[in-house]
Amino acid sequence: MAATTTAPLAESPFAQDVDERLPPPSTLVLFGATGDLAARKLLPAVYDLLADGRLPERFRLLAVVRGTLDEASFRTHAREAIDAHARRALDERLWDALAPRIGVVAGQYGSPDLFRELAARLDADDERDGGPTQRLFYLAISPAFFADTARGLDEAGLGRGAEPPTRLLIEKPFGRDLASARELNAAIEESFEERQVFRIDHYLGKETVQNLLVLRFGNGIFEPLWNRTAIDHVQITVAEDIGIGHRAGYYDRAGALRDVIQNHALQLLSLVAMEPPASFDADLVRDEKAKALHAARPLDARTDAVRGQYTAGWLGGERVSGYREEEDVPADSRTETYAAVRVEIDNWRWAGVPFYLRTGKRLPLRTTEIAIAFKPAPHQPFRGLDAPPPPNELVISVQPNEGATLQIAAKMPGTALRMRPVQMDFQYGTSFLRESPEAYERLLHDALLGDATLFTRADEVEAAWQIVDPVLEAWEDPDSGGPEPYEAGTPGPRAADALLAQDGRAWRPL
Amino acid sequence: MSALADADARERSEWRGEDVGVAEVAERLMALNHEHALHEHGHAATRTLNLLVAPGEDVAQPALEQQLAGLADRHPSRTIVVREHAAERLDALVAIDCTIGAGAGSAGHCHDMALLTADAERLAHADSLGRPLRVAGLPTVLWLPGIRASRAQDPLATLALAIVLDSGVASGAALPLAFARAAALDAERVRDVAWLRLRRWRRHVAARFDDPAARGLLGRTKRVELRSCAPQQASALLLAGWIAARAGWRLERLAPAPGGWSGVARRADGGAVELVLGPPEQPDLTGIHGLALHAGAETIALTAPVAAPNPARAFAAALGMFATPTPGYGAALAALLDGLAAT
Repeated sequence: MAATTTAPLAESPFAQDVDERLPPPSTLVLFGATGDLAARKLLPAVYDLLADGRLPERFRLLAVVRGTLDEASFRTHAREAIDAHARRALDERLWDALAPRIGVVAGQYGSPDLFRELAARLDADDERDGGPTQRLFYLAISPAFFADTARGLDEAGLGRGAEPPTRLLIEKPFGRDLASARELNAAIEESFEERQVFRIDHYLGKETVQNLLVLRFGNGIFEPLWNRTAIDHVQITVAEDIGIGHRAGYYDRAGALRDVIQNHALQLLSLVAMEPPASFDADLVRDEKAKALHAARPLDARTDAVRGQYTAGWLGGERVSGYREEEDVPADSRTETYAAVRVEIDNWRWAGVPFYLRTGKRLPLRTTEIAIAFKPAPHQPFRGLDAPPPPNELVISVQPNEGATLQIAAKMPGTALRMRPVQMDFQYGTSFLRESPEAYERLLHDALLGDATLFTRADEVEAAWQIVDPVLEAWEDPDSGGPEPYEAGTPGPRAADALLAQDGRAWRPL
Repeated sequence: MSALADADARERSEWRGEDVGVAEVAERLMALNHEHALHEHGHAATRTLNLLVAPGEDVAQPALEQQLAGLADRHPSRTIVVREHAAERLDALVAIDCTIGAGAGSAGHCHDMALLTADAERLAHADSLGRPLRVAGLPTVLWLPGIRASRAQDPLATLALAIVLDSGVASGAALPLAFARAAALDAERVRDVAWLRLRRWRRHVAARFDDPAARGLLGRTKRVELRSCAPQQASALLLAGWIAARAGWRLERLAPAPGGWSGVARRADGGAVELVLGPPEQPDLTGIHGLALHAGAETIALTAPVAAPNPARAFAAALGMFATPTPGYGAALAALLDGLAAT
């Protein structure tokens, strides 16, 4: 055979055949690595990503811990966390591959020495392992330290303009009102560019939430109906059966409106209400979400919002305490454990279509769902019916059973013309054999890839605060009364029912 | 009809018929479903696919049933199994299998199955058996268990969106037959479990050669080594074939060797690349666990840590990916067959 000279290939000849690219070489720096979030979610997510072959060959995890915890002790801690919480059973070979990639930097979060030491360690590890890695800083710490930590990283050369590139991952709460959110955003912006900041709302990592976009924009039948012409109203429910556990310190200062409505519920609303993006590009999607939030009318505490607080009651056959009897909750607390709001979106698509959002603790069951209630048929040709069939409803269940149900009317078998609502059901569990990745797996993987689509941008955060701020302000007024008591195990305060009843509607039963 | 319940909370209702017509089988399936619904077990009939199954003679029915039972939990389907027997007639067994949800509020699910046994002539027209029994509107996938081809394979393939097989069930001298059988089918529709097992390896290889320096080595490579356990030989060969195909090498020889396979590929510049597929360095390791490309003193070595392989998961994943194209598979298979043919 005649020898020929071949030019080097311009790109990987193998890339054309892979369904998913691996992230570039990366170091994940975990602040708060010994905390609850790291143990329950982040360390297991790293392990599950490794088990699924979704981490780059050069991947390291650097735990930033307070005090003097050594590497061996942290690895033991990480192994226990993975064993207890990972989706997949702990496999010794995988653990053997992961353990040497875990390192520790110990120190005090406020100390400049810590950040200098961290920067030196990152460089040394890169040099030892054969090249630079992108650095992701996950702040699984109190939001009170977000700004200082971002500044410390920047001062150590790991923030704006850093090379190798860096990203900052933070999770809500992003402020406690519009003013503090703006302050936090501004402080972070001094140290990191917006494109480097990945704000996590873990609801956006859930499969069904992403499926909402596919349902809307991947199918031809829904979008023509997705507007004020066909839709009567939308209900978004984030119900929890648990109480506040040991989170009284945080929860009593926050309340249900800040804890869930301002972020999770309004993020879901923005996905339901947004216009179709031109493409599934991170900024185009987030532009549309932000526009929807900006179009939402700021709430009026007198007419659009209801609050409640649970009292002792029965749940699942067990007697449970009231909120004010929970550990570390002041006996005269006015914090709401239930919030329901009516949001009006002032644009052509949604004018006159209310979005009802509710969340609460100690409700009868744990469920997160989006219910699209369609308008009834304009004319019923079926004479002699006792009652017209109920309107169609599309219910997207986010948790615990991910799926979607479309309720339609059907004729009951028999000689008489009787109708009954029936459900067309799609359940992830029975339609797809693949287990869904945990939300944190998806979000960590996206952050490693630099895909910000499922992360919240600063302007979205501020727009969401803008909607709820008037209510927060009104409720903080001592003369505004307090939350209406509701018995644990019931669907919430009576005022919540009245909020919909005044519009001639009712909540979906819980 | 019989109703069976066992300790692991499964129920089966079934009907058997000898010398029947396919219309009667369809009626019995429908009747069984109605009867089942009347009992109000509260378990949804769950079907994600029409799964046609054409086992070769090398697949024993009990082993197939065991695989199907395991598959049902992951991918409940309307399953239609077509087998051959000597008698000139069609026999049928239709059944509904239910998994009972454990605990209050948990959902159970049910799926149905028809086992058709027929003579060679009927099998040559097996599409006419499968067509009336499919659930309208569901995608149809053909599964070819075993290595030997069933007479029903080609006619049933005309009904299927995708054809699932596993070259990995073959080893040693049977591997070329398995690859040849896969290549004879429409590569666009084939979902080979042995190829799908390589997903993470392919991602790692693609990522490694994002580096221009690494790509440069492809033009100078003199030796490729792959280490894998014996059950993964088909996957290892496919990985080698894929690397050769995409690197622009032509496989000139590929043959079984002690402990594995060996071969020679030719680079575009005429240089030879020695291929060595050997056993793992540690005997307890499973899967593919090492790939190295050598060019003189330069070496690119890749390892991809993997959990112990789970055959049921791999097969279920292959079924679940029926709608997903598998680019690169056809090229890998063609490269391997070139090497095998030249040997």
